[in-house]
Amino acid sequence: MIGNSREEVLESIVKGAAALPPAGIALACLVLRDHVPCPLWIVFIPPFLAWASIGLAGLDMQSLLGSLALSVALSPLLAAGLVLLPSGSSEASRVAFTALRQSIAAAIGIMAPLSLVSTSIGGAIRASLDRAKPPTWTK
Amino acid sequence: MSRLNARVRAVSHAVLILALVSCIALMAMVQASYSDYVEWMHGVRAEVVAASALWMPNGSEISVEVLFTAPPVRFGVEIESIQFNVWRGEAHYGYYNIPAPSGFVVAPRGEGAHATLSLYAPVAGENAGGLLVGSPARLVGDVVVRVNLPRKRQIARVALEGNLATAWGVRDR
Repeated sequence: MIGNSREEVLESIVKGAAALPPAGIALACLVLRDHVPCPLWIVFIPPFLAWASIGLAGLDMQSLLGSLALSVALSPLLAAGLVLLPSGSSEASRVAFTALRQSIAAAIGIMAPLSLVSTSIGGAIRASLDRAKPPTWTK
Repeated sequence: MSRLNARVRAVSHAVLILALVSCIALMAMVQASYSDYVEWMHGVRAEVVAASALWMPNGSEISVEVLFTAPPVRFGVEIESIQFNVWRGEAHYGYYNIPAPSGFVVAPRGEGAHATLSLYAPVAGENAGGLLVGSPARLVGDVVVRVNLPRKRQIARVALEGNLATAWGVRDR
């Protein structure tokens, strides 16, 4: 039982860490929106897919929320780091502060709801597949 | 683990990998444009090569030659105008805004800029007497540049500063 729960926690962390780059990059693209060469809604497709895949994986509720919390909470830090990367040291603090402020606002306003909707969609697909062909253990 | 479960998990992993690959591709495109812009902002320079205030037959004018240099960038750069104030010590001798011709592209996409701009602006009557009769003045302002980013036309200001020679004594001859 303990081994199993550890495995689930580990899987939750791995899934959350895997969803972190799409979420962070989407936030960085929002901050650098003038440099995005495509319509802005396209930047939300990778995090949507990542979170939908977490929903599709069929984790239990605790692990699922852990994964989402990890990816949403750390994404502003990753976004600020990505924005900060090419800027010079003279303006680093100002750029970092602006990027962090905008990313946190977008993480709360856009990414958190998007993560819940995406995992719900993934979970709904998973549930419909399970209903269509119940797992062997239910027999 | 059931067969269905294994298949769904495989699909989930494939979707996650697709998300990772697509976000990396997106970031590579955005970072390329952004780091280009940051490098351009660090490398762009505007210098006053020569500047003088002269008596003319129908008044007086300021003549400025500006050397504008910028590293190559992947987006077009247009000079919108040159704006500066003229000072001698604490005395202010006017604000000048010299617009560039419409659509004046100083650096085509992917090429660096190295251009000398010759500009002229009339000096207002109330400033002409004080400015031209006296020691050299100071010119402080900006070259206003329009940078055509992928989603926006961004206005950037490049600092411009230099001495303005005066034509003191020329009128008397």
